[in-house]
Amino acid sequence: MIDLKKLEREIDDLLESETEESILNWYMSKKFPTYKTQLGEGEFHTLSIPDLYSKVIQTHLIDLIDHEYETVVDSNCVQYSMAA
Amino acid sequence: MEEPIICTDPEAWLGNAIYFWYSLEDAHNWGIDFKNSTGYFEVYEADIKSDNILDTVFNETHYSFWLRTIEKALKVFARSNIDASLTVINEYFRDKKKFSQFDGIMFQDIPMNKKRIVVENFYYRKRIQLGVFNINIISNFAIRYNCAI
Repeated sequence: MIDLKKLEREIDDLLESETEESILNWYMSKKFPTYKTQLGEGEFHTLSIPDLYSKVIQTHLIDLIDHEYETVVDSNCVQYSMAA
Repeated sequence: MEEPIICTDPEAWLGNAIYFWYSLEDAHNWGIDFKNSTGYFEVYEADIKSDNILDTVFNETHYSFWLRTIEKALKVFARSNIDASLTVINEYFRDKKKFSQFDGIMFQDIPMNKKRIVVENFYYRKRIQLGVFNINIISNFAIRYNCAI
C-alpha cells in the first residue's frame, strides 16, 4: 500500500507550487464539459417527443436479488458488479 | 463483453476508469436508469484485488486523507474562481500523477431514488462505486445475467 503521509506531502508541495494562473491554465487546457459546451450556443426549441423516462418499465427482478456483500474471495479481493 | 471497458464519459466522477458497483443491486439499477435507449443491458461480476485501492468508504485513514486532499485542492481552485467539481479535482490529481499511484478509488453516495426505497425518506444504504485504474487487479470477469427493460 502507498505511504499516504509521503503522498500527502507530495500533494501539499504540488498545491503550494500552483499559482492562480497555473491552475487556471491547467483547467482551461482540459476543456471540461459545461452545459454550454454540451449544448452549444443555439436556441432551444420544444420538440414533441415522448418522455422516455416515464416509459421505463419497472422490473421485479430487483426483488429477487439478495444483497451479496459477503462474497469475499480472500481478505484483499472483493467481488464487484457492473452493468453495460 | 470479454473484458471490462474503460468509461470515457467526461463527467464520470473519477475520470477515465473502469467503474464497478459494490452491490449487484446498484449495478442493476444503473442498467435500468441508463440503458433505456437500448432497452437491454448485461450485468457482470469480477473479483478485484483491493490492497492498493484508496478506500474512502470503510478505511478511516484513507477517508481522512481523501477529505483533506480534496478540501486543500478546492481552496486552490477557488483562488482562481474555478468552481471545481469532484471530477475536476480527481482529474487534476491523476494528471499530476498523484491519485494514479492507486489502482483505484472507492467512493460512496446515498441512493435517494424514491422509486426504490422501502420506507419514504429512509435513506440508510451506502451506494458504493469503485473506479479502477489498473486493469491487472481485475480477475474472473464474467457475465452474471442479462435484462430487457
